[in-house]
Amino acid sequence: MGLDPAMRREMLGLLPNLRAFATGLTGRPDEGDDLVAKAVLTALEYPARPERGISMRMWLLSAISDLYHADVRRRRSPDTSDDPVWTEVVIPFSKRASSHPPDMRDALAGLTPEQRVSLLLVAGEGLGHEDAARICRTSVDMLRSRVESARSSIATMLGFTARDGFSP
Amino acid sequence: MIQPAGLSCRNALSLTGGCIAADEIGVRRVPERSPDVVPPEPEVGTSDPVPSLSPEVSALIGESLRLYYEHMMREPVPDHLIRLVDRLSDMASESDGT
Repeated sequence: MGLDPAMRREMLGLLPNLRAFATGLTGRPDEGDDLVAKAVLTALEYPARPERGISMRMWLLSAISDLYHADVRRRRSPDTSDDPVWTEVVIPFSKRASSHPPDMRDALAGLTPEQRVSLLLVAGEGLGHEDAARICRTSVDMLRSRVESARSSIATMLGFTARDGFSP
Repeated sequence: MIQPAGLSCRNALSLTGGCIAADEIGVRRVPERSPDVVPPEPEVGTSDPVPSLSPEVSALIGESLRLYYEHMMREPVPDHLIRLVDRLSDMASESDGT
């Protein structure tokens, strides 16, 4: 039980991608690294002969997505309502004390968890819609809808208007 | 769900060097669903029209996201994650008797 040398090499090569995905989801590198560590441990479940062609990359991205959603649910529960919830930034940028313009990290924080996962898989990780939908356990149409909604929300948060070709 | 064989919370904690609380490791619980099972997911409120972006704005946002992601990918990988992968690899060698 464990990683054979080929799996070890593959996983080490995937770590930068996994960290980018997880940090993009949580907005914090330390919390992202915790997600990555937990996901890496699930590799012990990875079948020696993957069925239906699921790759180590897909497996680990899916594990991170699942762990992230579990964290979101836990933080939303009444028992943990005092925990910081980086998944629900609802303060409009125009009302924030900071005068700096919102950056991509801020914009991602303003999305729903489902939108954030979908957008990072497609626009960041470069997955096709089918693979991203598989990780998100949803239909391709739903995945497309989430990605488009996320892009539109980011356009609004970054200050694009109809004059820029944005038609809300 | 496929269960990892022989991985308890105790040795999971030792694998991570204690960087994560033992009760959070819970690899018998996560991922909650096997990654190869993709049930359709109902979602409410998705019939609302999505605002349309011009190709220029869409491309600009896509490029910004890609650059942001690449920036995060260039960050050095912490040693504890590399050690974790190595520990899992060592487990394979030990179980093979090599």
